[in-house]
Amino acid sequence: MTNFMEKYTDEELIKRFQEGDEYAFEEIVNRFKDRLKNFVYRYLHNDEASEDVVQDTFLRVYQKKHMYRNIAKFSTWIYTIAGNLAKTELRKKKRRKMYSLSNLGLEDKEYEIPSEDFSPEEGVEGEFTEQEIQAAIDQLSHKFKTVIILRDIQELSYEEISKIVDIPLGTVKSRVNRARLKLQEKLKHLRKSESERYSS
Amino acid sequence: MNCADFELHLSEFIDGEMSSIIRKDFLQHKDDCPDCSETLLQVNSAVNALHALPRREVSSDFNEKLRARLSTTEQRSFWARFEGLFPSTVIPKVAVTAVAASLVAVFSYTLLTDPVTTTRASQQSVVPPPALNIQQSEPLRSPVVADEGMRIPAGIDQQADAQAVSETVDSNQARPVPKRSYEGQIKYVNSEK
Repeated sequence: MTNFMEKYTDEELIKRFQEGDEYAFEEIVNRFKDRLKNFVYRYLHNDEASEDVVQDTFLRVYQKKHMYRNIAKFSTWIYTIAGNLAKTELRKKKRRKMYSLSNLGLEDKEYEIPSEDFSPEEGVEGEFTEQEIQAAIDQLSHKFKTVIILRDIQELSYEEISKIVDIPLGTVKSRVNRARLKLQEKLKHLRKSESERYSS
Repeated sequence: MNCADFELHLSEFIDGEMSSIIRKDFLQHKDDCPDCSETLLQVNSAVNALHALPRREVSSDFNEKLRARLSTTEQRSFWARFEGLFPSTVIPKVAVTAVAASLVAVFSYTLLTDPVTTTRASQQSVVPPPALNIQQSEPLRSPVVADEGMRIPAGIDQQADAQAVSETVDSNQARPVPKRSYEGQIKYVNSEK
């Protein structure tokens, strides 16, 4: 139904939607829903919660469509909304965890909280499993996590990341570099233990 | 190039954004330093692992759910539309003003329609005090009597009220209170004119 919309750029679509074309909104949803789910999932690693955040993102776009101004890329705007909502959800999630741990009297100890919907079969390819990579990402501070997700998972340009995160381009580049080094540090021991396993 | 410089330029190399001048030094250091060479391999491997992560997709009923949520929101969106007409800072002011105006209106209406305040106001402001006609004792609170210019709220049993008041006065041996002659007042007002 909305195939004829494919020829439009993201910015043209949001303009059409601002002028009342609901099909343009549907095309926006179809273009971004999986990208945003993939993005948000790396923060929350929970399918249901991630999908709710993506739904909320589109609701915001729908309700606040007139707030978009054609001075930035549309993708930058929608990623910013999704990122902010994911951050809020992550904070709520952490509070819930802290609450449940403090209820058990375990707040002084560190516990590995397993991913809620991880199944060992999925994503086991290459050197590391998805869970190992996800755990390494989770250990990064928020500023490093955001840029590495946007750069190496969402594969956005440095320029676009700079606009989404609202920091200078040079800072984005150095932050991505440092995030990669940190991630490599966290994955290194897995690599070694893997090689040790093979050698023994 | 030293090891610290090498680390600074790692991502430029991996992203293929390194200038040819730096590239030469970078590759030279990589060949000379096994630790940095290993680091480069590991960072590259981590980046590849991130690229290879399985893509997450939304559920098949995502659009339907969104449509349902949008229609629910649309039904509740009267205030959202209203919000769109005015800057968000104006709305609280308008709301507060409207509530304040309503309260003033209700309060004024209550004052104007209250029989006690209406009578007192008319007696105090319009009519000068009449000559006292002390003939008999009168209860402290006069029984409400229907008269022109005075409304009696529905539900008040005038006789019962008068009786209850006079009974109380009698039993308490109240001091006599001058009886107000309403007719006299009217006459007085008329005679002034």
